[in-house]
Amino acid sequence: MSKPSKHWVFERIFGGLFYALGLWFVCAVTQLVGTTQLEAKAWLAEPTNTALMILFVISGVLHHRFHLQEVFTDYIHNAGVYKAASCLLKLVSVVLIAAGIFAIYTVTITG
Amino acid sequence: MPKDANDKRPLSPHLQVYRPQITSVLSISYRITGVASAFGLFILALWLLSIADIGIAYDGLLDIMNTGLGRIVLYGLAFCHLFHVIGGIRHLAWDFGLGFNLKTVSITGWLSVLVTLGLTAALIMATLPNSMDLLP
Repeated sequence: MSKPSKHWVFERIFGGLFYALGLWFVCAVTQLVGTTQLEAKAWLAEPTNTALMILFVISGVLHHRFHLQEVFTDYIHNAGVYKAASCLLKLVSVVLIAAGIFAIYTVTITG
Repeated sequence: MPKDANDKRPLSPHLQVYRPQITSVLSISYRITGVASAFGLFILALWLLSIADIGIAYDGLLDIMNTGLGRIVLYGLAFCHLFHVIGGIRHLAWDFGLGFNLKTVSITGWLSVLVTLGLTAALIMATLPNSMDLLP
């Protein structure tokens, strides 16, 4: 598979995954409005929620990364700026996923 | 952007020279809402960190979210997310070559706008009473 078609396919795979998880997330968060930190912790520490939230963070960040990369490709016409923006995008994506998983992991071990 | 700067790729159409139509308006809105949704990921990360007590206080974050501006941002993000998710159905159908008929495109376009507005209203109504309890 060529690089562009890989991008196309992966954007849709993560889009689809993010899609299903997004529906779960909206329902879950609507229920969580107004909960205390302890309640939120208990909710997040439930194994199903832990697993889904990790997948939600990963698929969400990756889907947006693909999407933004495409926007950069279409609108940034300066090679240097494009390269810098792409690197920044990669960096922010990694940081967001790492921060999210670290937080979820901390909640599951501290309870 | 191509690696070789001389490799000319077609430019995206310049929006301002065309009369707005449901197709073009939804197309660019789909992009804009997708990009806007990305900012929600920062809030998601902050929220998760706050639950875990890392670097940011849960109550403090909730206080910010419960201000008028915080609500507008959150509901705005919810709208963008829903718009993009609903519009995504059309885009996925197009990827399989379905629904390209101009009339179909127009109908699904307007339908997606209605569904998005309906779902956003439902979400606001579902969460607004709860958040009111939190206000002093």
